[in-house]
Amino acid sequence: MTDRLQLGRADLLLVLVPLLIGAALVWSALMPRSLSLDDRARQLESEIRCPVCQGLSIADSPAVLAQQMRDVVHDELARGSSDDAVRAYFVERYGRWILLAPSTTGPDVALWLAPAVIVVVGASVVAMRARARRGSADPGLRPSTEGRRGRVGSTVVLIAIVGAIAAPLVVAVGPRLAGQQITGTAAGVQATPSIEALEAQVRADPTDASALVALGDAYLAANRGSDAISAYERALRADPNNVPALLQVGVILLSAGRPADAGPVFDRVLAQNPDQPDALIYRGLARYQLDGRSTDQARADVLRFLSVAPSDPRRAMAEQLLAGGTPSSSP
Amino acid sequence: MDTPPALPAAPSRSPRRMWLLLGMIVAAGIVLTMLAVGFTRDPGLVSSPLIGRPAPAFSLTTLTGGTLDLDSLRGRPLVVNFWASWCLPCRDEAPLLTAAAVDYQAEGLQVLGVVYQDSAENASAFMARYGQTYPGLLDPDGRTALDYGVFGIPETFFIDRGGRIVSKQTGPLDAASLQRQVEAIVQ
Repeated sequence: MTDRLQLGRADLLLVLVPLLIGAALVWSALMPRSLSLDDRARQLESEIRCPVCQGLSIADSPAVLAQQMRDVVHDELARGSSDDAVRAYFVERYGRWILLAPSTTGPDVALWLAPAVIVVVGASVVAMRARARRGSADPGLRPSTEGRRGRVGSTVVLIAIVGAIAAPLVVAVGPRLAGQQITGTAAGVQATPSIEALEAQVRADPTDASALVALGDAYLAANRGSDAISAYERALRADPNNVPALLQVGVILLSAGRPADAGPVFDRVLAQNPDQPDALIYRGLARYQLDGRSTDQARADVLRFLSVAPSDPRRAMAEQLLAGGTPSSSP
Repeated sequence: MDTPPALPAAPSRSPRRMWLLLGMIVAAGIVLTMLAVGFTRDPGLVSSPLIGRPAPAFSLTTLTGGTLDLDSLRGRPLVVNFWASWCLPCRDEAPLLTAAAVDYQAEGLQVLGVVYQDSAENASAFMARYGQTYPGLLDPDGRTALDYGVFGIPETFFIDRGGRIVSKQTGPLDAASLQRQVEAIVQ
């Protein structure tokens, strides 16, 4: 009697625990969410695929494109868009592919249902086999009928399983090339400059200053500073007035704590174009660093920078310089 | 239905094996076909849902300091090319696009180059070097590239007089693909 009672309690627990967990899940799903903008943005960013990465969300990717997409998510949410509207923005431009998880509506449902279908079909196979074995032990059932039914059944089941796997894969892969006129190959698409390709370009024409600058930029992006400097120097030997190369060399000198050497480099840029904003802000910064205090020349550079590039992200740094503070961000 | 098997001497064993074997061959065939098709496709090639839809509007600063609004070009066929100075295939494409802008001037074709993840200085130097005469547009926050669903560059959109995206080229254009897609929008 006590044994039976204890068994009853265990049974009760077995029923109650899943029930409670289920109730908690339903409750949390039904509760109105009061997520902050940042929470919603983070959630959305983890759902959206980074187009230039392999299987990464934009939340996890350091790519420039991913950063720009995160900015769009933030801007749209700040403008009052719903989560669905933000998802729709990306889906309308990049297709359903842009969502890392397939949606729960439309043809994507096949992907979610496939595992359940496979489990049900598999369980039916096991059940049918078990019954067939019991049936063959039963002398009342004729083995010939049972045999044929079994073999037809197992073939149908096998094809059904393959179909259940194939259908969602076709759904996932199929629409990719439909209704488009993409005639190029993805091999020609560059997400980031390739060092190898640029090196080949430079070998083919060692006086190609813009290729040398691009190579220097690529080295810099790959944290190969000294290679970058020599590429910029080669670019300047090929074209002594190359503005991008001069700017990069100047910025590198400035970052290396050599404002006295950086200044004349920016002078060479400004001699060609007196309103070049990068040269203005960096020459201003170099002059501030040289004198430690605000000088008229340094102020003039920074003020000119603010008037030619009013919406530049370095505005904050420029204003800090004018206010006499030490700039927190160096180039 | 209840007729005995064709070979009464042999038990149901071997026909059943045959059915199973057939089923497995069919199943393996389906899987292999899918793999064969799947592996020949590049996972990076994804269709653009924008084809057949109105071209997303933009108003961008040009490399020469002006502002260009897409709406101001309504009624003209447009080629919108996304490019950067660090993009090698763009170097081959630039002269083709410049030539198309000249060749189809009578049809009112306007070529636009949207600078993708690049500085104005590098872009200007590139346009000067490659003799591009059509407007270069700056997209500093990348919003226009995102509006057009750009993956990587070069990517080029062909827009008809009604402002509808007719086709998209992912990857570099050659003379033939450029001419074919321009012909489709100038008529």
